[in-house]
This record gives sequence, C-alpha cells and structure tokens, in this order.
Amino acid sequence: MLYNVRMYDFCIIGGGVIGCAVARELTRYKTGVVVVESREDVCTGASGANSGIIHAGYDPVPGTLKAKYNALGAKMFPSYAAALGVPFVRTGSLLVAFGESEKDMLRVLLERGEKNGVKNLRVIKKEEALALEPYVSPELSAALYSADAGITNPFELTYALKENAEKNGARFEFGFEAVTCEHTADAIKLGSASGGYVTAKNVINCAGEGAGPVARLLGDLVYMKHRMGEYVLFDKPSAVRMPVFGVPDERGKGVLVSPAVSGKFFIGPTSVESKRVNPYFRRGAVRELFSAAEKLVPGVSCAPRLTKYAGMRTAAADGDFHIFKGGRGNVWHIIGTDSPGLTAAPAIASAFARSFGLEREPSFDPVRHGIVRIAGKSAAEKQALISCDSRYGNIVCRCECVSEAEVIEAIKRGARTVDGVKKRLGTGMGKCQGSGCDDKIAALLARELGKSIENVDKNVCGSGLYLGEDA
Amino acid sequence: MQTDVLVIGGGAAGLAAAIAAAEKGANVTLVESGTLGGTLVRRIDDSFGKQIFGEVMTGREYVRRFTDKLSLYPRIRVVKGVVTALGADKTAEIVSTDGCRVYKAKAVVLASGSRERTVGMLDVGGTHPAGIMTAGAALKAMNVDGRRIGTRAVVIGSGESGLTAARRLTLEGVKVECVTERMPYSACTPDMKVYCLDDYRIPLLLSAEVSEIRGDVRVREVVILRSGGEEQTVRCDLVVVAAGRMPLSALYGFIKPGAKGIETDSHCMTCSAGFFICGNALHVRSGADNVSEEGRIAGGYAAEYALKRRIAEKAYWLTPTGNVSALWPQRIVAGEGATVAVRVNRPIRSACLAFKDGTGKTVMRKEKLTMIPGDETRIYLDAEDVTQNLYVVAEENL
Repeated sequence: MLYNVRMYDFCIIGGGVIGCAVARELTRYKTGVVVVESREDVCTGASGANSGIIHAGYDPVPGTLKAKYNALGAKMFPSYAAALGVPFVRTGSLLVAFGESEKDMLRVLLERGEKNGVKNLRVIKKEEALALEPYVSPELSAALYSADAGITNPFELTYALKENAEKNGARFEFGFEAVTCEHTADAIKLGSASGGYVTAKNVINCAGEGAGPVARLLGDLVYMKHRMGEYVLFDKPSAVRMPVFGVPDERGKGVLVSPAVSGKFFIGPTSVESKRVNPYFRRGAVRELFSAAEKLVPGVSCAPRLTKYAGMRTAAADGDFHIFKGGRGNVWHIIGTDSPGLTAAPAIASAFARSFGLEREPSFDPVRHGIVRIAGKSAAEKQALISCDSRYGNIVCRCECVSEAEVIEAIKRGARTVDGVKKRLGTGMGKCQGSGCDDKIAALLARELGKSIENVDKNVCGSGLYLGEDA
Repeated sequence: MQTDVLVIGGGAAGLAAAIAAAEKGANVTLVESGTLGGTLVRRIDDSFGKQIFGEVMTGREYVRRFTDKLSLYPRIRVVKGVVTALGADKTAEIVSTDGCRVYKAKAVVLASGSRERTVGMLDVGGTHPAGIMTAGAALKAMNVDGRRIGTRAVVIGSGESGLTAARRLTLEGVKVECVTERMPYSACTPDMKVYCLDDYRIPLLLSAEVSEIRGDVRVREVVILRSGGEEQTVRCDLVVVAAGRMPLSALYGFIKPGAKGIETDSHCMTCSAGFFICGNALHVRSGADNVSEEGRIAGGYAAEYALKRRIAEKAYWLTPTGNVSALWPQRIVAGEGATVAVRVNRPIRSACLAFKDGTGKTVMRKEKLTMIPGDETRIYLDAEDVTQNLYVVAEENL
C-alpha cells in the first residue's frame, strides 16, 4: 500500500519498455520519478511478448512520429543497449518480394528509407539474397537488405531500464492500478484500486494496453485498437541468420521468420483485431502462421517446435505514435506505441525527458550490468564463479544452464513470479519448457520471498502452480 | 579428472549401467543432477520389479534396490552435478556446487533420459494460464512434494504416463473428468486401461482432441473436439499433458541420429565408438525393468570398451519396413543373441513378425498375439537367427 508522503515531479503510469525508458531518461535530470504499474512486475504486457527486432526504419511513412523515432532509435540502440548490459546483434534484415508488383513495393520502401534517413539500405537480386539467407524461398524476385537492422532481448531491455532508473532514484510501485484521478491546484493525485495514492506534478500515460482507460481517467478521450499477434517458437539452430519479412500490408509488417538472441527462432506475429485485452491463441493460428512462414522459408514448419505464445499490441486509430499533452492539467500521453515501439523507445524517451528543460543530475549513472550468467563461460570461468558463490554450481534449469545464484539475483532485481524469472533468465524457455524446472523456480521464489509455495504465482495474481488448503 | 566409464544420468538406465560397468572392473563416474532414480522416484504405483527381482514394488523401492547395490562398489563415484558440455573426444565438463571440473573418460554411457511434450508444442488453442502441467510434473508434485494441483482435471493422452497420472490424481481426490486420445485406439495396454481408468470409472474419449483451453488466471474449462466434429466443453481447473516424450539430446549433437533417433548395435554402442546409449535417451518405452536391462548391457560393454577388452564388432542390420515403424537396436552383433524391441504404427491382431532378406524372401517368423503402437514388442533373437541383413515387417495372421 503506497501512502502519499511525497510529491513526485513525474508519475509514469505503465511499466512497459516505454514507461521504463521514460523513467530512466527522466532520472538524468534533477527530478523525482515514480512509475506505477498495475501488475507485480515490469514487462508484463506487449513488452513481454514481441519480436525483439530493432528495425532500421524504412517501414514507417515519412513525416510520421514513427518514422522520426524509429530511425533515431535504431541509430541510438547499439550504444544504448551496451550501457545497459542488454544484448544487441546487428544481424541485418531481409524483406523479400515475390513477383513483379511486390518488387515495386521494395523501391517504395527504399525511397521511404532514404527519406527517413536510413543508411545501408539497398534492393538486392535473388542470388545475393540466397547467399545471405540460404533457406529463404528461391521463388523470391528481389529483396530489400537493411544492414543496420538487428535483434535484441526485449525483456532484458525493459528490466535493464527499470534497474537503471531505480539505481538513479526512480521509484517503482507495483500492484497499483490507477482508478481515481483528482486534479488539485499544482498536482494530480492518483488513487489505486487497492487503496494507495500517489501525487505528482506531472502524469505520463504509458499504459500500453491500458492507454485508453487511463487516458479517460486523466480526462482525455483516445481511440485505441487492440491487435493480437500469435507466434510459434522453434528450437536452435535458427533457420535464418536475420529477420526475414515479406512485403508489408495495411495490417502491418506481416508474419516474419526471425532469430532470437538466444539462438532459437520464431515465426509470427499474426495480426488479429480483438476486443479482448488478454492475448490468446486462435485455433487456426498455427496453420495460418505455417502457411505464411512457409512462403518465406520453405520447410520451416518442420523444425522442432518449442512453444507458441501470443501478445497484444495496442495501436492508435491512425497507426502512428501519439505523444501529446492532455487537455487537463500536466498530463501527457505516449501511446500508440506498437511496432516500431521497441526500437523507438530510447529516442522517444530521451526527447520527451529533454523537452522539460530540467537541470541535469550530475550523479546520473547510465551503466547497468546484467546478471552474471554461468552458461557459455569456459570451464575455468565457471570454476571461478562457483568458488565465489557455490550456488552457481546448482544448475536449476538444465536446458538453458541457469543456476540458483542467477535465480536469486533475478528475484533481488524484481522477479516475483515464475514467468518473471523466466523472462529475466530464460528458465523454462528451453527444450523442456518448464516441465523440469518450474517447481524448482517456484520453490526458490517461495524461499527468497518468504512465502508459502501455494502463494507463488506463475504470472498474474492468483495463478499459483499449486493450490492451497482451502481451494 | 580421469575415469574409465562416465555414466551421464542416474535414473533407471544409468544406475544399472554404472553397476554393470563396475562389476566388469571399470572405474565409474556417475553424474546425476537431481535425485538418484530420476523419474522413478515419483512413481508410487507398484508396476516395477517383476522382471528383474521377481516381485512387484513401487518405483521408489525399485530405485532403492539399485542405490543399495551402488554403495557396494567403491569404484563408482557419484557426482551430484550437471554435464554442461560433452566432447566427441569423451571429455565432459561437469558443474556442481564444488566447482566445474573436466573429466576425461575412456567410454561414455548416455543415460540422460527424455523430456515430456508440453502444451505449447501441441495444437491446442486458447490461453495457457496456470493449471497446465505435464504428467511427470503432476506426479512429482503429488507424490514427491505432497502438493495439491487441482480439483477437476482433464488428461491429454492415453499412454502409460497419462493413465498413471489419471489414476494417481483420482486417488489424491481430484475428479478426473476424462482422458482424451487423438487416435481411434488407446495408446496403452488393455490391462493398464482397466487398472487406471475402468476401475475408477474415468471415461476414455477416443478420436478426441482438446482444441482449446480457456481461463485467464487459471484453467477454467477445455473444449474437446470429437471425431464427428462435435464439441464438448468440460469444466476443469487442471489440464495434464501426457502427449509423449522425446530424448533430451542437446549434449550429444555430434552423434548423428538416424531417422528414428540415435542408432545402436546390440551392445548399445552408437556409431561413435565408445559412446553407448540406453534408456529413454535412446527410445521411450514403458517398463523400467527393461530399461535397467538395457542399462546393464550398455554399462557392461562400455566397461569392456574402456578396458580395451573388445573392439568394433561385425554386425548385421535390421531395417523396419511396412507396419513396423521403428526397432532397437538396428544392428545385431554377429554370433550373439539379442533382445529386439519393435514398434508398430497401428494395432495389429494375431501379428507375426517376418524377417525378410534383400530379395523379399521370408527367412524367419516370430509369432506374437497383439501388437499395439503404444507398447513395444520385445523378442529374443538367437545368434543363429541373424546371419545377414534383414528387413522386419509385421504381418497379420489371417
């Protein structure tokens, strides 16, 4: 329960990648920041279920906010990620065309890219495309190759932003669903469904899937659309070296085939308008995904499947980012941040924070180190880690080689649920998909958080792996 | 660290392999990441021991027999740890709370078992909230950890795993609404069906698939699609997935598998000399007793290999054809008898296994009563039976 003893300068509603990036950028200045998040952790919405692709920026229409912030974000990303200890791999990306009319589309995208300031972008012939990606369909007519595009771990980015923001003085409040809003002379008081309050001079709506209701609460009417995206994840090794797209249509970039930083790869997302906010997997979705992906990379549906998952993107009616001051009081909205929202996040956040003309905070530290991982280290390095902390030698997730020490650190950094540990460390994302380690992770959470194991949730409140006595 | 035989995995296969290798005089290092006994530790039904010990017992008691015997061999060193890397040169990186050590072995026995298929791998739509577990995880939660996992359950899959879970759930007070099976025949023996389902009046729905799971925080209901296209909604708060197992083979990717997995000879040796494989890591089957027997063979021959007592042998190929979808081992060492496990791709009554030569002439016949896909048929071949490469087919005795 958050009792109001302090007036913050900024209250950010929403702990996704946008909210966390804005929080972190604001801490560069002398200002008090709080992020209120309705769930138990950051990165639980669309930030926790997306393609993780850093797009070069040729896709958005020139002149839109998406075009501006995508290109800027893509340029900022490598050093931004490096400071935050977040992986970024400059894989490049390939957009393939079939037939002549799609070839024309490539030139349109090339021009767009040039207008948007994207470098290292060119239309290539079939032979060069096949040399870059041997498994891509030989039926392609031409392709658009973007050398600057890349992939990242979108979860790690959100967690890193949160940790760095906290290190620099931002406060995070979880389980805070803003349901009341009171405008006073110089501040706004937000009330939580569970009874707590927070007061701030400025409120920023970064609520993602909740952008519509939060905007209404703050006194503005916005029309948001929810579009669900389904994915199928396959085991290593990846069929492709870089994200492979087809030509985009009005619904978006379409189904793509892409590697993940972990070495696994996936196909997706679909794009389905939905009234529901919770994502789900439609019955025909696998067939739809396979049929679209097979066109790009024949044979891909025969790869060993690990799992399927769905995310929900919330977009503005006109499809662009919307960053604007609300009608009442010091309220801002940063909404409509679907693709390329992840790529644009650093650029949006830093421009937004800078716009207040605040005094810089000299003690701001941009560096955040990720959790030290035992996987992938040499035998000598592993030995050194275990000598320092024997819990590095207790491997709890065999498939991904994750130790007890790392799980404990993830919990220290904010993981509260089995999925929270999973998104931070990749536990349960390997071959056994949690069937061999969920119980161990839950037991560690129970121990570290001082809870009974029946109160340890898989994700949302009440989603315990085990039932209590009175269930 | 040097060792003669490195056994990776201390479950039914690995325990037997370690003991057999030690009995032949080899120094053995047995690596197990969890509890010795592996998946058997969660089995408290009494379907173990009949073959090997001549008496029935629970999985835990069966494990105890082996661990008691293990402690009699000082040349077996048990390491509680995880093999994080394995080289084709028989070096293994082992991580434990004591540190990270590299072991060099003369022979390696892969007994690392299998993993279960999970709900995300199936074509089930809807949501995947809390309340979905694999059969193995469910058994462990109930039998080992003493947890409550649901009040009303639907089990997907009618193999040994699913049926054991259905019975256990019922005895723990969970109402098992039904077991669904997507094939038109059940994946288990008729005996098991009576023992696990009929005795508890649990319906088995054949040609039925769970097409959707619903629920946001926890499972609320499932939609079952029947063969005629009808749908049935069943309220439940637990879905147990018993949809099969696959070998956990990330460690030994350098051993090139055949179409049906790693291929071995009747000594359990793979095509990589000195690498032996046994148990669920090789092929998934029900019945720990024959897993232990296979482990015993693998461990014994691994020791012989390590101690340089045997070299590569002449062997004949057995190739599955027709209704025989797979068999193990694929190569029979010349001059020795061997037990062959055969799987068919559909139920066959009054079956007869025919062994044919390259021209299609039947060289040998072995009669069997009924063969079903869910159960392996084991036959013993004498040394004189296999003197050339043979094709194996299952024919119906008409």
